[in-house]
Amino acid sequence: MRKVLLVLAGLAVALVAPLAAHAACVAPISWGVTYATETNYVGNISNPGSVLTIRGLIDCFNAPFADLDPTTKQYTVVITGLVSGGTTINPLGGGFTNYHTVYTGGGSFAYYEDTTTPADPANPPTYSDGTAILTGVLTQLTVDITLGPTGAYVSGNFDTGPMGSGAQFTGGTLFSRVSNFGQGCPLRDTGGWNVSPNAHPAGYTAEVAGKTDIDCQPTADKAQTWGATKAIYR
Amino acid sequence: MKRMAWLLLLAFLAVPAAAFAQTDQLLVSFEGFDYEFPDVHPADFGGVGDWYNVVGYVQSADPLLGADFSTNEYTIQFFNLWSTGFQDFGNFRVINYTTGRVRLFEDPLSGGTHGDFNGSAFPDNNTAGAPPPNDTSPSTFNDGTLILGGSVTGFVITFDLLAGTGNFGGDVHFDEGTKLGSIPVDVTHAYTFAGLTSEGSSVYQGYDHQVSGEIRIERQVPTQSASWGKMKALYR
Repeated sequence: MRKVLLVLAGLAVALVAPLAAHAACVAPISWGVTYATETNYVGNISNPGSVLTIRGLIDCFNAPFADLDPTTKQYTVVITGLVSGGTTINPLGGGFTNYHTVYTGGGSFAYYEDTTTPADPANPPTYSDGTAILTGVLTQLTVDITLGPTGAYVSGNFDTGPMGSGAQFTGGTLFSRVSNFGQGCPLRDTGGWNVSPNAHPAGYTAEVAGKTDIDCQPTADKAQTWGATKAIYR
Repeated sequence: MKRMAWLLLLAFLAVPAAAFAQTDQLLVSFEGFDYEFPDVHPADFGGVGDWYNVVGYVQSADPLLGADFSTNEYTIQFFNLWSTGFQDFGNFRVINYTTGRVRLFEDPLSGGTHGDFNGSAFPDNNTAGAPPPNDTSPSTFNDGTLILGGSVTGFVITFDLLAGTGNFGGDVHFDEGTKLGSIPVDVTHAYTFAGLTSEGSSVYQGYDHQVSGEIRIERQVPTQSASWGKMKALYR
């Protein structure tokens, strides 16, 4: 009996011990060192038609991906195909200025798992090799940057829009975790956007502190009588 | 005459253009939630006298901090940021703050206290779902060892009232913590920035926004002046 209790106690300790030896995070997918680049971008101005690409590392996972460990395998994110509508400049008073850019079009994203080639910002294909664990589409991404009175970077953020506004998972080897009955769940990518000149390597336009939130909650149901249901069709 | 012109040009090129080059490196990245407390103006985010707070997890850290995520949890807290008022420009709201503080804590995974945003669910103190401050937030985010802290100046939030998203930025001046000595002496500037999102499905009750950001340091890397002759010799 005492042995059984000891085994049970040991099991209980094992169950409450931390499962993953990596950092805690809030979002299901948290991005690490990530950079953005564009095809037509000068001096914080994204010109109309400029195509945005984001390449980054994933440094933390939460449910439903809590079993993935970015310290033992490399996980990357790549966003491509969103097209700039041009940057608008909005004075904010006190010398502060907002730079607002909306990217639209047929954007897509993919998350990769790789055990062989370290991602290198100077070698873009190293971000998109390995196994595509999640893929999907994005219809919009908005970037807001605040510059101070001297023109220096103060802060910035990006956002792919509220849940259900277009961003959605469509495939990948882990698609079953982000879909209900084969329908991909909505997602929202948000985070900080840093255009400080020395914060990104040559060839890139911004450094990004991002994350991916997922809303896989099934649609809410409503209890009612058969009579009420039939009445809908009468 | 032509030779003199070349000599003058070479002499000019031999003068170092700058004694130092600037680098910008990630010190820590973090993710968490923000809230206002005390909240003098609950209906108006950033009202005069509202205090801005952030609690969250540190996800990654520069090796110079010697962080060990396999044995410790690292948390972050912004506090003492007091709104001096806001101005609205169209749908953009700019909120300015007094000098506040940011602190980073190290807490063992085994035997420490996991950062808990929304209150414990223990029967003797059932405040699960309570808005912050509650019995676990910020207390489980500012316990453990204070490894690095400093004042935050020039803190500004710019918020798009229509989109429900925004950002903050400010300068950081480290002055405390067990890892203070690990901050290189050639750091000329440290700053923080983050994106703010008020997505309903991902923000705990009582918090205003999800926060995703970084603290970065800018360093001066010494350069060495040399003549073109010495430069060319390096490649021979």
